[in-house]
Amino acid sequence: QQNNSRMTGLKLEGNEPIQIESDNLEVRENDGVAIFTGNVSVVQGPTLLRSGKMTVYYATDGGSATTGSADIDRLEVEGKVYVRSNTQVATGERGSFDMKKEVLTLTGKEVVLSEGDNVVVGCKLTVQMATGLAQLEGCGNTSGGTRVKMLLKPGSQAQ
Amino acid sequence: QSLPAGVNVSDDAEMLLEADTVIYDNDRNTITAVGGVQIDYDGNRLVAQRVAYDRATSRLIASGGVEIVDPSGTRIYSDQIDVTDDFRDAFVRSLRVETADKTYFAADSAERANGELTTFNQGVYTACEPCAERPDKPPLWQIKAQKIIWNGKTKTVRFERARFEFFGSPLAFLPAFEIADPTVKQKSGFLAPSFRSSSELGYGVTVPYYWALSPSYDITFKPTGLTKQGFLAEAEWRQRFDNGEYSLTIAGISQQNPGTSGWPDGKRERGMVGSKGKFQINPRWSFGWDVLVQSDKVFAHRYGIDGFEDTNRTDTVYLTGLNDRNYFDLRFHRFAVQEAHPNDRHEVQPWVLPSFDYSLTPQNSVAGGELKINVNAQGVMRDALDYRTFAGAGHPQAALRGIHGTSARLTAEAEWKRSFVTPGGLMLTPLLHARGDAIGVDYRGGSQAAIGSVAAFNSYGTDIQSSYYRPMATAGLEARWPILITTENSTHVIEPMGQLFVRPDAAHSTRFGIPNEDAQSLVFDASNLFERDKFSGYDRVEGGTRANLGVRYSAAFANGWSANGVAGQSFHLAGINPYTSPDLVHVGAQSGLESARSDYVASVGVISPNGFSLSAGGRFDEENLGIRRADITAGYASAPVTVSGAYSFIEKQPDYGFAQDRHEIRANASVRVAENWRIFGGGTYDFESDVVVAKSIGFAYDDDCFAYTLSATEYVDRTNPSQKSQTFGFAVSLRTLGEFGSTALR
Amino acid sequence: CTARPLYGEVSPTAGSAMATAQLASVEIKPAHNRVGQELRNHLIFLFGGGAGQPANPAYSMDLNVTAYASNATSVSTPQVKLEPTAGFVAVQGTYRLTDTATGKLVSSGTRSVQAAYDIPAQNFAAQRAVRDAENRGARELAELLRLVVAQELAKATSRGVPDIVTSPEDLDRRRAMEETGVFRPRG
Repeated sequence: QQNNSRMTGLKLEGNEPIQIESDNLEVRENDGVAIFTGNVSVVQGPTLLRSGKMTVYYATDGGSATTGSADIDRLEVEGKVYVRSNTQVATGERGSFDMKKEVLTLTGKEVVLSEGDNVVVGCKLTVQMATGLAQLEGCGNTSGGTRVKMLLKPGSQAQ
Repeated sequence: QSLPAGVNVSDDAEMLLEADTVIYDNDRNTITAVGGVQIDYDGNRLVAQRVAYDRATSRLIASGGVEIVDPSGTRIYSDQIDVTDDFRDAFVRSLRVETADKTYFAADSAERANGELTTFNQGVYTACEPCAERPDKPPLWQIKAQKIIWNGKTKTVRFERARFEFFGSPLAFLPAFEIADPTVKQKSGFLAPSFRSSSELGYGVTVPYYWALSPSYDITFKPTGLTKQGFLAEAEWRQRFDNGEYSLTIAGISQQNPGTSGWPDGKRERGMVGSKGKFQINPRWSFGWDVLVQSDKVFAHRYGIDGFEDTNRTDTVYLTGLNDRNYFDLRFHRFAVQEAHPNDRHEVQPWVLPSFDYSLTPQNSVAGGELKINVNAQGVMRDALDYRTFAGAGHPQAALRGIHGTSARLTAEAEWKRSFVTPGGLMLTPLLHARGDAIGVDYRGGSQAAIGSVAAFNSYGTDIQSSYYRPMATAGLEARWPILITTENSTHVIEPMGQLFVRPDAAHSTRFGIPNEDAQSLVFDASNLFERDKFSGYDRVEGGTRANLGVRYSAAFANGWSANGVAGQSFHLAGINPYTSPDLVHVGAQSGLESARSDYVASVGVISPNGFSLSAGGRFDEENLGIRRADITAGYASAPVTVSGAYSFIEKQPDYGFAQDRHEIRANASVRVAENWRIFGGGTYDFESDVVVAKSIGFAYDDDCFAYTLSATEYVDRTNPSQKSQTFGFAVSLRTLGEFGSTALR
Repeated sequence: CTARPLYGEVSPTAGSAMATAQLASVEIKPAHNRVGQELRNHLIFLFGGGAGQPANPAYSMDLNVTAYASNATSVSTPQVKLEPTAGFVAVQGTYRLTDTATGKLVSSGTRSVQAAYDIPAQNFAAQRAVRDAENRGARELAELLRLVVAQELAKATSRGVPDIVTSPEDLDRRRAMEETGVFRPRG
């Protein structure tokens, strides 16, 4: 399949409609925080995010979480995090979406980023959602020192 | 797929990348790996500090201490490499390459196209390992070329505008030349040229071309240009099978000046066809041949045709079987001497059709003892007389070493023996032996007259018949009484031994008649003392009653030294002494056995654990103990130094053809003086003529990529010492490039 | 030091001596070349006295036999710079004696015997002279190795096999072999 359009990366737009579902929700209005727990699923355009728990931090300048009209400052997710946007899938143990800087970070013992049959495994994934630049680092500093491993088929992109 | 050598890749191979960090840029569709990057792809491994993989153009740019290892073990070191992700095409900057066979390339830059053609720009090639401590020191030899093209398909390495450097200084400029890809074993291509020179041929250069048609057969063409004789064409076909191999060699020349002095009949066209073969039919049976047919009797020797240039040539076809205790050998020979003189020794050498030996020793014993059966058959044909007259002992003498005509003999013999040991430790071995010879002779030419004149010189009669029958029977007894002496750190055995053989006289042994073809040598020494029949062949047979007495000694010391010896004497007790009876070659004359009480014989052997060994044998006159014959060899073998000497004295045997004593000493030595240096030499001194008849000196250097040997030999004619002849030999070999030098060296 | 008949017990009542029984229980491995077979055939008789190889041997003997002809004296002739007229064959036998039950090495060593011969001008006679010298050397070496094995069974003295050079020709042959594998790994 000739994939000549620029690949859309893992992107969550601050101002696009977001649909969030979860088993239950707790809102703390004055802290500007909403905590979704239990099969959390977030859909925005082509991007899907699933996790065990998600905490949403709203910008403190007006608007309320319940009406969904306030700006989201950032999202914290944890517990078997799964992020997919059409061709790319990333999994990890904890993640955070910083909407203002548009940076997604996923961490955990085995963070896996795969695209078709190309698979990359590491400890810390940092995605610049604006440019789609994803940086995966090994856990060099922790003991064990496992490094980033990547399996790919040469030329699969080029053909 | 490896960078330089063209190895193609299975297309479903996957690339495994490992790094400290991986940056995945979707916008520019690139992957960047940083920190200890390692990529494994279908047997190729790439290691670098940083790799940028542009998925769109599917090119990898690796930089920072880049090293690529391909499946064949070739290593490429560089600062930066730009290679396609299937490793087929590449562009490398300032690289070093090390192949599995320890050959090295370096270049400012190199490109590789479709996995086969690697071009090094401003390249350097050598087979010498870079010096570990000082990598910048130039290797012993290297080739610097503007362009080095390593072709993976044709398996060649081509140098363009190359400069050969030795010890860092340029020695030769070569516009373009090609060598075989060092990683390939059997490779068609030019072999190293060799040079020769001789008065009849002038100067010559041979440039051989080796054509590997298949892993099991190949052809080598060896064209030689000779200044005085023109173009010599020579080709050798070789074919290998799993149970053997054979070769066929053809050579020919149309000589520019055939009339060179001393050459037979001045023929212009001369040539040869020769073949050798060796096959192991099964673990017990093998057969083979070594035959040569040539236009005249000296071509292969004069033109140095590989494998056929020996002066004494033996054309052979043989079938041999060796199984446990039994032996079978059937062979056909033509003996030839490659010499230029008209009627010298060549014409008198025989055809032997066949020479047959068979010996059978049944596994289970017969009447408690061992039975051994031997059969020997021999047919000798010659069409010239080998008859010589010379000054004998006290009267003129003549010998007929080979009759003109055909003689055939069939011999069958059986021997039974068994050992008993008496309580006192005496080992007795009764022995019964029977033998029969049937001989047929067709005397032609002057053979009968020659026999008559040999008989006349020795005042004996002649007994010339067309066939002879010669039976022989022996009753014998051997006695051995070994005494073992054990000391604190050594053991010694002293074994007195005696033999008694009661036999009738041999038939036809009182007059000259039966030809002697295979028993023309008789040396009475310690190894011959206890032989039942001291003759060296079946054409003579030992008759009469004889006793051999002697003592054997063997010592073994705890420190690893060992010594052994034999001494004794032989007594002719009754009947005709076979060693004085008439023989066409006078084989018993002055042998020490011609008197009823023989000379004394003795031998000594000493072996030490540190490589020193001595072996001596001698024969001493039975009256005055004067030395009649002595052979002493001593040697010392150790890693750096190996020396060996041999001294021989043989008192004159005028009737046997040696009017003077033969008295010589020879020594050879090879000393490794330093890690890569060896000096070797040798010499032969003839006491009788007080001349050093041969001396040679040489030295050799060898290391992992370069070897040369230089040697000089001088021969001096002992009959007129002013006549000297020298031969020099040198060989230079550069590993993977080839060997240059005169063929005379080996 | 003690001295006694190798084959005999001091007291006549001992019957067939201990040494002959031991020698008769030595099995000799098959030979690979003609001279080695000659030596082995002689040794089998000298060990067994005619009974052939032992059915269940107590000892096993490996033999490696080599025979090299060397020149002794020579003359210069127009054809050949140094035409040999006499020579000798050095027959060298290296043995390894092991105990079949334990597989342990009892003794190993080497012995060499020289047999001299004359080299006639007739090349066929010269070829048969070398063959006869090999046979004589093999028979005399068999007699010697029989005593050596009996000695080592009585009291083992040697384990090592010293490397010896038996003649100038033997040295040339070793140097030529060394030169074929000419390239030496550096350092």
